[in-house]
Amino acid sequence: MASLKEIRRRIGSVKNTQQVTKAMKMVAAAKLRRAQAAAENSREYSAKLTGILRSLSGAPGADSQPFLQPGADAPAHAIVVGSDRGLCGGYNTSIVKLGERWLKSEDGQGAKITTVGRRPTDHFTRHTDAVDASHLDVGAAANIELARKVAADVSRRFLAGEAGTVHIIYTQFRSAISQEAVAVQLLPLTTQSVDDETVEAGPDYVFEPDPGSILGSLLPRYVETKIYHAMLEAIASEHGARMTAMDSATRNASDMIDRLTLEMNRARQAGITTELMEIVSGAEALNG
Amino acid sequence: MALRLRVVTPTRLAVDTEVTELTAPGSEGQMGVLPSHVTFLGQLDVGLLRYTEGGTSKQVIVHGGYAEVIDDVVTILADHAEFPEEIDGAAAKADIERINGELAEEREDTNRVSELLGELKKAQTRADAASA
Repeated sequence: MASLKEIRRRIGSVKNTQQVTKAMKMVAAAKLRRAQAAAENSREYSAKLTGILRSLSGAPGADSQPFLQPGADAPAHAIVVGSDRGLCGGYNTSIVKLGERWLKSEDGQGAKITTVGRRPTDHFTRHTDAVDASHLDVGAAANIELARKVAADVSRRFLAGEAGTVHIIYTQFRSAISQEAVAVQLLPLTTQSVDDETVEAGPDYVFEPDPGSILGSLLPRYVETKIYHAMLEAIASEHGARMTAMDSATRNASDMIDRLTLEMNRARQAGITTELMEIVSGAEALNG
Repeated sequence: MALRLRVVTPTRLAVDTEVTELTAPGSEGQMGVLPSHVTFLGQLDVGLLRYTEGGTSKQVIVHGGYAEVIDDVVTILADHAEFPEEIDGAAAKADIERINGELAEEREDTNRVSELLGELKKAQTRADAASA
């Protein structure tokens, strides 16, 4: 059995670790709340934009919008959204796994990818040669500037015929304890993505300028909003995953402290018993 | 009769208030909206959105987007919105200088030039609003 001193030292070190994981959990919880608030703030904008898009999709000239047309006969392009930091459970692992699977699938043959976040960037540059662009230091909050930059880049690839389709692989946020990695097609915009039943189409408007030009300027914004939305979800998922991971780490530490405390008490009791035995047998020897 | 004005951007709800009238920077020129306006959807340019709230005139800068009018509710979907008091006037002036400098250098790439002209307009609007 380990010595009393050794066990005490181990309890001390586990307690320190527990303090760290507890603090990280609190921080993740606060950031998750902020990420959810940001998602809430963007909801009205994207709902309105989708509504306008729906009432415009029947407009004259809608058929000639390149974003709505099948792309060139070229390999696909994917945006993989992960995080910069680890210690968030299986968050990055599931994104990376899905990315690998997608690259091997029919869609992903010869595809190039844009990575967002240090973790997926490191993985894909090490294991594949598909990485064409990467964005690091994305920070703890989704940022619309980055979404715009990525949107402009993938739209250019699509319009120039470098990419036949554009997909985005990110983590969908269900709840703080449940997130799922998904791959969805971004470009060309399908009627399916536009015909979102949850969003009502706007009424008959008087347009200024004509509906065709409004649609032309609206589609790129729609792509931006989609990417921004995916980033918001990814970040909420990251914080949710980290919170869950740190919560279970804190609980594991508690269990370990309990076990070690028990072991320590046993060791101490054993020491006392041994001492008592020695005293008693010593006294017996004197009496004898 | 009053209008409800909502200025919505991807990151925040910048304005949500009752106004009596407003003027928006439409892409085809300034656009005034009074109560009982026809159901309307217009594209916006970079510029000042002026509105009268409780008898006082206020303004907010919108960076492109759309204006939608339905049943006396005006929703401005802007790429970005900021209030004049949020702008650092000196920094906006420095932006103008920088962009003008770049414009003088750039001769080849016409796309870049039109991009810079767009930025210049943005910077100009911001600087004007900050000093007003």
